[in-house]
Amino acid sequence: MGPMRDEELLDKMDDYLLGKLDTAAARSFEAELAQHPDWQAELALRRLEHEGMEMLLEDNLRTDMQHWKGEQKMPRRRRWLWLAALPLCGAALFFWWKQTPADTPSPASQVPAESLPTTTQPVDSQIFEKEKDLPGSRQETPPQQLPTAVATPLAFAEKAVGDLDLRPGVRGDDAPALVAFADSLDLTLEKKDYAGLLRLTEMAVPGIRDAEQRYVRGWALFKLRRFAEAETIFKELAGRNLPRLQVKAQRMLLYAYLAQQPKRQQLLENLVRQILEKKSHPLSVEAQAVLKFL
Amino acid sequence: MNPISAAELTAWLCGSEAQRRQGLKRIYDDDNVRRKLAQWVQEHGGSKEEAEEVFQDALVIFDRNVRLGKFDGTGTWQGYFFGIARHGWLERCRRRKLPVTELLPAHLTEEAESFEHRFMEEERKTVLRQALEAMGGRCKHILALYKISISYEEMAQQLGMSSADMAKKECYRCRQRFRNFLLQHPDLLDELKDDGTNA
Repeated sequence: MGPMRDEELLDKMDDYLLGKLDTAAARSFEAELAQHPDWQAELALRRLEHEGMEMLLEDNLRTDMQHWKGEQKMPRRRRWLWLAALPLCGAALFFWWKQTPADTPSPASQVPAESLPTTTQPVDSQIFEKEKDLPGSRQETPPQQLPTAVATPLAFAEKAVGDLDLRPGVRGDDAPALVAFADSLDLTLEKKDYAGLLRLTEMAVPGIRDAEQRYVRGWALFKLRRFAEAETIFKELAGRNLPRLQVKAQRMLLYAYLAQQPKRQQLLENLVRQILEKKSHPLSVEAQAVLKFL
Repeated sequence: MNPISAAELTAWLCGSEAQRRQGLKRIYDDDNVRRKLAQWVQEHGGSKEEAEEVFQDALVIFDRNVRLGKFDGTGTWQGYFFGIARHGWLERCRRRKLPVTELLPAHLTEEAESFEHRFMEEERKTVLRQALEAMGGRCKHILALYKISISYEEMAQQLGMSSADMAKKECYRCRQRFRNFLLQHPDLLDELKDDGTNA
């Protein structure tokens, strides 16, 4: 943009888009803009940025509203009981945490201590270890029940995805923030409060890898039927070099594409082909089922 | 719950993240507004569920208008909110298909345009959402804070950054990420720009 591209001008563009200029200043800026096509191009890009930011606020508000709706459904008396129980639960958790020896796995953990990964192990999951019977998990398990008698790709995808397949397995010596995160996650899943789950993934929790948190976020978005956003996350995770998480993300991507049929037809076909081309790919049974369904 | 004035509400919605949430929740929990709107929507052929959707859509628009200074605070906020909601409901009614016998050519054109417009809007939102998701959670938080116009000092404090300068740099970096995603998809970018001009 040459000499005009200075910080002052860019700030003015932002002020204009944020509605901070008064009417006279806005009109005068518009008149200036009309004489500078290069400014207009920059403004068009900035307008998109602001539109995106506005969508962020809208999404946050809609997520909050879903959460508040859930709160409203809870009877008032029961809500007070919950509030009264919170300090007690906190105290109990604190004493239990203090008394549990560091090298003993907690009752909450379903994974033997020796099999828990350390930072040096080349695994893709540090704390999300309480996995269900899914492809890519360490235990050999029978293949997941695939949906039958469903009419639409969306119904097939939603039924096939099922429960969250990556859950925190917490030990006694984990940081309280992590324990609290795991508890909140369990609670939101129990209540099927996917908006609440989405909110949980907005906060950084010490000890949790970003990729794992993003996987949970993608899953919550899928459950909220925000498939395009879920797709973006799973596409990114499927491209990362984290073997087990990669398979899980690929699986979710498969169903995110399927849920958006016919819009993602080509992408779905490519992914199915990619899976079936590999010998004994952990998702081959599911890919075949999708193909058969289509 | 004590009633809140338009000035108080405006201050909340234009305040910090926590204040905004508090203000928005107060509106959401306002039984009077909700009940009145539900009654009005039901009197005009809608259901209870539709009334809830209209309420939520209205809250999103109300919040945006207050932030952009479109609500001058001269009347009551309830009246302004109700006006937005009523307009939203009428807009929905307009989009509803009329029985075939009652359709005039003008209606058909309007309906077709409206459908196309809505489809384009949905597509536009999808592309923007993809760009937003590609940025990651922290960047999304930073940009949401930027959009509510809190100062870089406050942003730095809230996000545990060392200084306002650092917050400004982070914000710039996040905007670049968003922009780069779009620039890497020129086809999407052209679509977005075209739609923006037409909208």
